[in-house]
Amino acid sequence: MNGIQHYDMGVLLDTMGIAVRTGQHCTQPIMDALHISGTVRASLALYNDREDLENLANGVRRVIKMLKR
Amino acid sequence: MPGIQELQKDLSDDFALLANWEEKYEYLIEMGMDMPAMKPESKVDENLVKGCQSSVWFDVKCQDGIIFFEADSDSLVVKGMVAMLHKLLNNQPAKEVLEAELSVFEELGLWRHISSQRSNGLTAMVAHLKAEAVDCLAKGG
Repeated sequence: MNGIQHYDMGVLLDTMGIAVRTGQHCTQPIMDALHISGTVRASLALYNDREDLENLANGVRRVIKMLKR
Repeated sequence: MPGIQELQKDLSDDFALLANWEEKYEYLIEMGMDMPAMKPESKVDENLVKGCQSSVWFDVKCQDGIIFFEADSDSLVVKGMVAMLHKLLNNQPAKEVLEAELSVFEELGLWRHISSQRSNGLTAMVAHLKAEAVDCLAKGG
């Protein structure tokens, strides 16, 4: 997400009980090729439901509000 | 200039007023944003502190035995941690920096949410400042 560092997003989502993976995901060559230091990945599985997705979307909105000031 | 212990207590008192983790992180981020900006020419590789997953730069000076530093990070959360270190250790005698026991980070529990990689980053930042304090003392400070 433009202007937001991946760890910041991960740490702040974590305080809201939302677990995501941040960093380079062991794919440094593609991160270098894209000129980015890392990404945030939400890994969905069979046990995630609509409420989890809504929490994630609301969490991301809250983090953007906290960091884009 | 108040001593490091007194400054740690002030920080601890400030954070105690905040109700939840979100408010605490908001305060931490604000502290980072309020920290004096680092000169762009100081953000060079030799000032980059290794051991941090995000990029952190420290430009440390020793003047008459007093440690002064500028710092920055690409992560606002890390920059907040750096701002705490700045509040505690900037403009302090090298001997005090070297001997400082920074209990406030543990006490606030802000990092218990954070991966060991990030708390290692904090350890690396403190170790870097202490190493600079050793050099400063060796220069006769």
